Amino acid sequence: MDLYTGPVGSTKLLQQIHDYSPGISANGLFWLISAPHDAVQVRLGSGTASVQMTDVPVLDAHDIANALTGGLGLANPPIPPIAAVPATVSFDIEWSNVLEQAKVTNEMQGFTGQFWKTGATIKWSSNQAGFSFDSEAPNPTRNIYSVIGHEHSGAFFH
Amino acid sequence: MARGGKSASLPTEVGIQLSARSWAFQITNRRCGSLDASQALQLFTEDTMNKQGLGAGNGLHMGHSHIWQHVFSRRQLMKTAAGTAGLGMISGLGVPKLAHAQAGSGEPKPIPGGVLPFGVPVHHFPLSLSVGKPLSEINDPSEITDFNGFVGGVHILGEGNGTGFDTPLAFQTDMGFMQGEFIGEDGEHHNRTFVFV
Repeated sequence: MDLYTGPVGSTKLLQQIHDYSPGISANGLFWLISAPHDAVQVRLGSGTASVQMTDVPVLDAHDIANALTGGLGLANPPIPPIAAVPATVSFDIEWSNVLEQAKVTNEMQGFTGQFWKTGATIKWSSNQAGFSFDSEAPNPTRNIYSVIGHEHSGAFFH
Repeated sequence: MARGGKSASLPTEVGIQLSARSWAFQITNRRCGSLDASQALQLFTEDTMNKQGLGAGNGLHMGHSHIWQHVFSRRQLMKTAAGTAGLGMISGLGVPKLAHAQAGSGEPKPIPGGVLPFGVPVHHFPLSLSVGKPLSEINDPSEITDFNGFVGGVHILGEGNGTGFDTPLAFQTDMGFMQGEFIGEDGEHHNRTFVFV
């Protein structure tokens, strides 16, 4: 969950001012949190799903470079080291309006499943010492690419 | 809510622009800042043929706008990730317990492949390599392997209000979920729900 100065669509690293994530686990799980079962609702039959969580503790690494380097910054482009600070985020994501359905099998990545490309919206907010953010109302036109599905991977692939 | 009551429309071309959370959408050959956009788009896989390897100097420099396939062994990956990302530095700041998952625990195992934003290997694929790509060409939306369950992913851009700013801030969210059965680091079957934040 990233924030940038500039108009919608601004995603340049040098414009980034907040980068919220739960961090990378010791075994490599990337920005993943465990969630209550009822935080996620999936209804593939109707092509809809939702994720709702409140006050999830995360880190604000300021920018993606510091999020990935553990606060070490980058040499090129020059991104100064910035230590992460604690924050919380809340979000409500809704998938709906099926655009396409397909069975997908990817041998190289080792997964197969039935997927639905859908529309999606998000309403989210963040809070930390000295700063808070509230996103605009859910807006279907902001969706870039969204999918839901049911898949088998790894040991379940074949 | 957005100030001013006016909603800007999304750009017709969403470049990568050095943002690891938009690793893939609408690949272009333009340069963004001092790095080529495709530098944020190197994929790595564990078990595919290795044409590029990880020799000195080829881990970052890409002069083309297509995807390069790198082969990382899991050992190489974790050694690189731990050394590059300073993973230990993020612990102890009150983040969820999963962020401290250890090998051998009942936590899920990450997918074996992923992307290399800024040369840092991460176990994550962007959903699609371009906005117009058909669904059949999506990357694995799941971040955990040995998985049998529901999955979802979104990439949404938008705007909102931040403390101390008179004009709206732009946001980008690349998020998802996994819910179902998986074989954990302990070799046992589990059934849980995870959210990619």
